[in-house]
Amino acid sequence: MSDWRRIDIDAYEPDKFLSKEELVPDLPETPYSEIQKVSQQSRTYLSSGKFSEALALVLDTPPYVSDEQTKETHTETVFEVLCSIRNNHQVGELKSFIQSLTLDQQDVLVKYLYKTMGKSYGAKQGGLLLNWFEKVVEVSGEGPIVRYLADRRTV
Amino acid sequence: MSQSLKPYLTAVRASLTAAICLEDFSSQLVERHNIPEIEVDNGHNPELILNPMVIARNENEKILIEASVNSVRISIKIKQADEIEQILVHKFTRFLEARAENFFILRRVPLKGYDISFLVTNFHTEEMLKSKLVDFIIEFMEDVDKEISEMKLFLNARARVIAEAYLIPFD
Repeated sequence: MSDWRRIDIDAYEPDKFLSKEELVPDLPETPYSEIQKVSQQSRTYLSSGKFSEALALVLDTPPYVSDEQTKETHTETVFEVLCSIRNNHQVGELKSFIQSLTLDQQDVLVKYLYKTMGKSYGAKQGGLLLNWFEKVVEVSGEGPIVRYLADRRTV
Repeated sequence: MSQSLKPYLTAVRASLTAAICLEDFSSQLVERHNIPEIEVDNGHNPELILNPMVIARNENEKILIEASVNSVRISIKIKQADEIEQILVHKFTRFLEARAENFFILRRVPLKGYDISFLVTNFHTEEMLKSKLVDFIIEFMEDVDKEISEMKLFLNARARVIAEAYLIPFD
Protein backbone atom coordinates (compact mmCIF):
# COMPACT_ATOMS: atom_id res chain seq x y z
CA MET A 1 0.00 0.00 0.00
CA SER A 2 2.79 2.43 -0.83
CA ASP A 3 0.64 4.50 -3.17
CA TRP A 4 -2.42 4.90 -0.97
CA ARG A 5 -2.70 8.64 -1.63
CA ARG A 6 -3.53 7.95 -5.24
CA ILE A 7 -6.42 5.60 -4.54
CA ASP A 8 -9.60 6.96 -6.05
CA ILE A 9 -11.78 6.94 -2.96
CA ASP A 10 -14.74 8.48 -4.82
CA ALA A 11 -15.07 5.28 -6.78
CA TYR A 12 -16.15 3.55 -3.56
CA GLU A 13 -19.15 5.82 -3.23
CA PRO A 14 -21.12 5.27 -6.43
CA ASP A 15 -24.19 7.08 -5.10
CA LYS A 16 -22.37 10.38 -5.10
CA PHE A 17 -21.90 10.81 -8.82
CA LEU A 18 -23.32 9.93 -12.20
CA SER A 19 -21.62 7.45 -14.45
CA LYS A 20 -21.46 7.74 -18.23
CA GLU A 21 -24.00 4.94 -18.59
CA GLU A 22 -26.56 6.85 -16.57
CA LEU A 23 -26.39 9.74 -19.02
CA VAL A 24 -27.51 7.58 -21.93
CA PRO A 25 -31.16 8.51 -22.55
CA ASP A 26 -33.88 5.99 -21.82
CA LEU A 27 -34.93 5.21 -25.37
CA PRO A 28 -35.51 1.94 -27.24
CA GLU A 29 -32.44 0.66 -29.04
CA THR A 30 -32.34 1.00 -32.81
CA PRO A 31 -31.37 -2.25 -34.58
CA TYR A 32 -28.86 -2.24 -37.41
CA SER A 33 -31.33 -3.74 -39.90
CA GLU A 34 -33.63 -0.74 -39.53
CA ILE A 35 -30.82 1.69 -40.33
CA GLN A 36 -29.91 -0.35 -43.38
CA LYS A 37 -33.49 -0.15 -44.56
CA VAL A 38 -33.46 3.62 -44.12
CA SER A 39 -30.21 3.83 -46.04
CA GLN A 40 -31.65 1.87 -48.98
CA GLN A 41 -34.90 3.85 -48.92
CA SER A 42 -33.01 7.16 -48.97
CA ARG A 43 -30.97 5.99 -51.95
CA THR A 44 -34.16 5.14 -53.82
CA TYR A 45 -35.49 8.62 -53.05
CA LEU A 46 -32.27 10.25 -54.20
CA SER A 47 -32.13 8.32 -57.46
CA SER A 48 -35.71 9.31 -58.26
CA GLY A 49 -35.02 12.97 -57.45
CA LYS A 50 -37.07 13.21 -54.24
CA PHE A 51 -34.43 15.13 -52.33
CA SER A 52 -36.49 16.65 -49.55
CA GLU A 53 -38.16 13.29 -48.82
CA ALA A 54 -34.75 11.67 -48.49
CA LEU A 55 -33.53 14.41 -46.18
CA ALA A 56 -36.62 14.25 -43.97
CA LEU A 57 -36.39 10.45 -43.83
CA VAL A 58 -32.78 10.27 -42.65
CA LEU A 59 -33.28 13.09 -40.15
CA ASP A 60 -36.36 11.44 -38.69
CA THR A 61 -34.61 8.17 -37.86
CA PRO A 62 -31.41 8.93 -35.95
CA PRO A 63 -30.16 5.94 -33.91
CA TYR A 64 -29.74 7.59 -30.49
CA VAL A 65 -29.21 4.39 -28.54
CA SER A 66 -27.22 1.94 -30.59
CA ASP A 67 -23.77 0.50 -31.18
CA GLU A 68 -21.00 2.44 -32.92
CA GLN A 69 -21.32 0.65 -36.24
CA THR A 70 -25.01 1.48 -36.59
CA LYS A 71 -24.41 5.11 -35.76
CA GLU A 72 -21.54 5.26 -38.20
CA THR A 73 -23.63 3.74 -40.99
CA HIS A 74 -26.39 6.27 -40.45
CA THR A 75 -23.88 9.14 -40.37
CA GLU A 76 -22.60 8.05 -43.76
CA THR A 77 -26.15 7.87 -45.09
CA VAL A 78 -26.87 11.41 -43.91
CA PHE A 79 -23.58 12.60 -45.39
CA GLU A 80 -24.48 11.02 -48.73
CA VAL A 81 -27.86 12.74 -48.76
CA LEU A 82 -26.34 16.12 -47.90
CA CYS A 83 -23.68 15.79 -50.60
CA SER A 84 -26.17 14.66 -53.19
CA ILE A 85 -28.52 17.57 -52.47
CA ARG A 86 -25.71 20.12 -52.58
CA ASN A 87 -24.28 18.67 -55.81
CA ASN A 88 -27.65 18.91 -57.54
CA HIS A 89 -28.64 22.37 -56.33
CA GLN A 90 -27.32 25.89 -55.96
CA VAL A 91 -26.17 27.14 -52.53
CA GLY A 92 -29.16 29.49 -52.37
CA GLU A 93 -31.60 26.61 -52.72
CA LEU A 94 -30.39 24.88 -49.54
CA LYS A 95 -32.31 27.44 -47.53
CA SER A 96 -35.67 26.26 -48.83
CA PHE A 97 -34.73 22.68 -47.90
CA ILE A 98 -33.97 23.71 -44.34
CA GLN A 99 -37.10 25.82 -44.08
CA SER A 100 -39.19 22.79 -45.00
CA LEU A 101 -37.75 20.84 -42.03
CA THR A 102 -39.35 20.79 -38.60
CA LEU A 103 -37.45 22.13 -35.58
CA ASP A 104 -36.54 18.62 -34.42
CA GLN A 105 -35.21 17.72 -37.85
CA GLN A 106 -33.10 20.88 -37.86
CA ASP A 107 -31.61 19.91 -34.49
CA VAL A 108 -30.72 16.48 -35.83
CA LEU A 109 -29.24 18.05 -38.95
CA VAL A 110 -26.91 20.20 -36.82
CA LYS A 111 -25.87 17.13 -34.83
CA TYR A 112 -24.91 15.31 -38.00
CA LEU A 113 -23.15 18.36 -39.43
CA TYR A 114 -20.89 18.52 -36.38
CA LYS A 115 -20.34 14.79 -36.40
CA THR A 116 -19.43 14.56 -40.09
CA MET A 117 -17.08 17.53 -39.85
CA GLY A 118 -15.17 15.57 -37.23
CA LYS A 119 -14.69 12.63 -39.60
CA SER A 120 -11.94 12.56 -42.21
CA TYR A 121 -14.38 12.13 -45.13
CA GLY A 122 -16.42 15.06 -43.85
CA ALA A 123 -13.35 17.28 -43.41
CA LYS A 124 -12.50 16.70 -47.09
CA GLN A 125 -15.92 18.11 -47.98
CA GLY A 126 -15.67 20.87 -45.37
CA GLY A 127 -16.86 23.60 -47.73
CA LEU A 128 -20.02 21.70 -48.57
CA LEU A 129 -20.91 21.02 -44.95
CA LEU A 130 -20.15 24.62 -44.00
CA ASN A 131 -22.60 25.79 -46.68
CA TRP A 132 -25.28 23.70 -44.99
CA PHE A 133 -24.27 24.94 -41.58
CA GLU A 134 -24.38 28.59 -42.63
CA LYS A 135 -27.90 28.17 -43.97
CA VAL A 136 -29.13 26.43 -40.81
CA VAL A 137 -27.81 29.30 -38.70
CA GLU A 138 -29.45 31.78 -41.09
CA VAL A 139 -32.81 30.03 -40.82
CA SER A 140 -33.01 29.17 -37.14
CA GLY A 141 -30.22 31.04 -35.34
CA GLU A 142 -28.14 29.53 -32.56
CA GLY A 143 -30.92 27.47 -31.02
CA PRO A 144 -29.98 24.15 -32.65
CA ILE A 145 -26.32 24.64 -31.63
CA VAL A 146 -27.22 25.16 -27.98
CA ARG A 147 -29.50 22.13 -28.12
CA TYR A 148 -26.69 20.13 -29.72
CA LEU A 149 -24.34 21.08 -26.87
CA ALA A 150 -26.62 19.99 -24.08
CA ASP A 151 -28.42 17.07 -25.69
CA ARG A 152 -27.44 13.64 -24.37
CA ARG A 153 -29.20 11.97 -27.28
CA THR A 154 -25.99 11.84 -29.28
CA VAL A 155 -25.90 10.59 -32.82
CA MET B 1 -12.39 37.27 -48.16
CA SER B 2 -12.17 33.98 -50.00
CA GLN B 3 -15.23 31.94 -50.85
CA SER B 4 -14.96 29.21 -48.23
CA LEU B 5 -13.50 31.32 -45.43
CA LYS B 6 -16.71 33.21 -44.76
CA PRO B 7 -18.94 30.20 -43.98
CA TYR B 8 -16.11 28.79 -41.85
CA LEU B 9 -15.89 31.92 -39.73
CA THR B 10 -19.68 32.24 -39.52
CA ALA B 11 -19.89 28.69 -38.23
CA VAL B 12 -17.12 29.31 -35.70
CA ARG B 13 -18.72 32.54 -34.54
CA ALA B 14 -22.14 30.94 -34.04
CA SER B 15 -20.66 27.93 -32.25
CA LEU B 16 -18.50 30.05 -29.96
CA THR B 17 -21.37 32.34 -29.08
CA ALA B 18 -23.43 29.30 -28.16
CA ALA B 19 -20.62 27.62 -26.23
CA ILE B 20 -19.42 30.59 -24.18
CA CYS B 21 -22.28 30.56 -21.74
CA LEU B 22 -20.54 29.96 -18.44
CA GLU B 23 -21.24 30.21 -14.74
CA ASP B 24 -19.22 29.94 -11.56
CA PHE B 25 -19.05 26.32 -10.52
CA SER B 26 -17.13 24.81 -7.61
CA SER B 27 -15.55 21.43 -7.95
CA GLN B 28 -17.80 18.58 -6.93
CA LEU B 29 -14.90 16.31 -6.07
CA VAL B 30 -12.44 18.50 -4.16
CA GLU B 31 -13.73 20.81 -1.49
CA ARG B 32 -12.99 24.55 -1.85
CA HIS B 33 -11.56 24.08 -5.30
CA ASN B 34 -12.77 25.93 -8.35
CA ILE B 35 -11.15 24.50 -11.45
CA PRO B 36 -12.05 24.62 -15.15
CA GLU B 37 -14.07 21.43 -15.47
CA ILE B 38 -12.95 20.82 -19.05
CA GLU B 39 -9.33 20.54 -17.88
CA VAL B 40 -9.80 17.89 -15.21
CA ASP B 41 -10.33 14.22 -15.75
CA ASN B 42 -14.07 14.03 -15.31
CA GLY B 43 -14.61 10.32 -15.01
CA HIS B 44 -16.92 10.90 -12.07
CA ASN B 45 -18.84 13.94 -13.34
CA PRO B 46 -19.54 13.34 -17.01
CA GLU B 47 -22.65 15.53 -16.74
CA LEU B 48 -20.46 18.66 -16.51
CA ILE B 49 -18.97 18.21 -19.96
CA LEU B 50 -21.02 19.15 -23.02
CA ASN B 51 -20.77 17.59 -26.45
CA PRO B 52 -17.61 18.66 -28.28
CA MET B 53 -17.89 20.48 -31.61
CA VAL B 54 -15.54 20.13 -34.56
CA ILE B 55 -15.70 22.63 -37.40
CA ALA B 56 -13.53 21.74 -40.37
CA ARG B 57 -12.81 23.79 -43.46
CA ASN B 58 -10.63 21.04 -44.90
CA GLU B 59 -8.38 18.29 -43.53
CA ASN B 60 -5.66 20.62 -42.29
CA GLU B 61 -7.71 23.56 -41.13
CA LYS B 62 -10.14 22.90 -38.32
CA ILE B 63 -11.22 24.00 -34.87
CA LEU B 64 -12.33 21.97 -31.86
CA ILE B 65 -14.59 23.58 -29.27
CA GLU B 66 -15.08 21.67 -26.02
CA ALA B 67 -17.55 23.23 -23.64
CA SER B 68 -18.27 22.52 -20.01
CA VAL B 69 -20.25 24.17 -17.25
CA ASN B 70 -17.59 26.73 -16.34
CA SER B 71 -15.02 26.67 -19.12
CA VAL B 72 -14.59 26.33 -22.85
CA ARG B 73 -11.47 25.01 -24.54
CA ILE B 74 -10.93 26.12 -28.13
CA SER B 75 -8.19 24.40 -30.13
CA ILE B 76 -7.24 25.62 -33.59
CA LYS B 77 -5.35 23.79 -36.30
CA ILE B 78 -3.76 26.39 -38.54
CA LYS B 79 -3.39 25.82 -42.27
CA GLN B 80 0.01 24.33 -43.13
CA ALA B 81 0.54 23.67 -46.80
CA ASP B 82 4.25 22.77 -46.79
CA GLU B 83 7.23 22.25 -44.50
CA ILE B 84 8.19 25.93 -44.34
CA GLU B 85 4.69 26.78 -43.11
CA GLN B 86 4.90 23.99 -40.56
CA ILE B 87 8.09 25.48 -39.12
CA LEU B 88 6.69 29.00 -39.20
CA VAL B 89 3.45 28.00 -37.48
CA HIS B 90 5.37 26.07 -34.85
CA LYS B 91 7.68 29.02 -34.09
CA PHE B 92 4.86 31.53 -34.16
CA THR B 93 2.57 29.65 -31.80
CA ARG B 94 5.45 28.88 -29.46
CA PHE B 95 6.32 32.58 -29.36
CA LEU B 96 2.75 33.39 -28.35
CA GLU B 97 2.48 30.56 -25.84
CA ALA B 98 5.66 31.67 -24.08
CA ARG B 99 3.86 34.97 -23.41
CA ALA B 100 0.52 33.38 -22.56
CA GLU B 101 -0.12 35.47 -19.44
CA ASN B 102 -0.40 38.60 -21.61
CA PHE B 103 -3.21 37.07 -23.63
CA PHE B 104 -5.33 35.96 -20.66
CA ILE B 105 -7.24 33.23 -22.49
CA LEU B 106 -4.29 31.58 -24.23
CA ARG B 107 -3.37 28.10 -23.06
CA ARG B 108 0.33 27.37 -22.58
CA VAL B 109 0.22 23.99 -24.26
CA PRO B 110 -1.93 23.23 -27.29
CA LEU B 111 -4.10 20.16 -27.40
CA LYS B 112 -2.54 17.19 -29.20
CA GLY B 113 -3.12 17.42 -32.93
CA TYR B 114 -3.78 21.16 -32.84
CA ASP B 115 -1.48 24.17 -33.07
CA ILE B 116 -2.86 26.56 -30.50
CA SER B 117 -5.45 26.34 -27.72
CA PHE B 118 -7.47 28.89 -25.80
CA LEU B 119 -9.16 28.35 -22.47
CA VAL B 120 -12.06 30.63 -21.59
CA THR B 121 -13.35 30.33 -18.03
CA ASN B 122 -16.23 31.98 -16.25
CA PHE B 123 -13.77 34.45 -14.68
CA HIS B 124 -12.85 35.71 -18.13
CA THR B 125 -16.47 36.16 -19.14
CA GLU B 126 -17.13 38.05 -15.90
CA GLU B 127 -14.28 40.48 -16.60
CA MET B 128 -14.57 40.77 -20.36
CA LEU B 129 -17.39 41.10 -22.85
CA LYS B 130 -18.40 37.83 -24.44
CA SER B 131 -18.85 39.36 -27.88
CA LYS B 132 -15.34 40.83 -27.71
CA LEU B 133 -13.89 37.45 -26.74
CA VAL B 134 -15.55 35.85 -29.75
CA ASP B 135 -14.34 38.71 -31.95
CA PHE B 136 -10.80 38.24 -30.66
CA ILE B 137 -10.71 34.57 -31.59
CA ILE B 138 -12.24 35.18 -35.01
CA GLU B 139 -9.78 38.00 -35.65
CA PHE B 140 -6.92 35.80 -34.54
CA MET B 141 -7.98 33.10 -37.00
CA GLU B 142 -8.17 35.64 -39.81
CA ASP B 143 -4.85 37.29 -39.02
CA VAL B 144 -2.80 34.19 -38.39
CA ASP B 145 -3.21 32.94 -41.98
CA LYS B 146 -2.22 36.35 -43.32
CA GLU B 147 0.74 36.55 -40.97
CA ILE B 148 2.04 33.11 -41.87
CA SER B 149 1.84 33.66 -45.63
CA GLU B 150 3.50 37.07 -45.19
CA MET B 151 6.34 35.53 -43.20
CA LYS B 152 6.75 32.88 -45.86
CA LEU B 153 7.10 35.54 -48.56
CA PHE B 154 9.67 37.44 -46.48
CA LEU B 155 11.58 34.24 -45.90
CA ASN B 156 11.73 33.46 -49.60
CA ALA B 157 12.80 37.02 -50.45
CA ARG B 158 15.56 36.91 -47.85
CA ALA B 159 16.75 33.53 -49.05
CA ARG B 160 17.03 34.90 -52.58
CA VAL B 161 19.05 37.94 -51.47
CA ILE B 162 21.33 35.78 -49.36
CA ALA B 163 21.89 33.33 -52.19
CA GLU B 164 22.77 36.18 -54.56
CA ALA B 165 25.17 37.75 -52.07
CA TYR B 166 26.79 34.40 -51.44
CA LEU B 167 27.33 33.66 -55.11
CA ILE B 168 28.81 37.09 -56.03
CA PRO B 169 32.47 35.96 -55.48
CA PHE B 170 31.97 33.12 -57.95
CA ASP B 171 30.56 35.43 -60.60
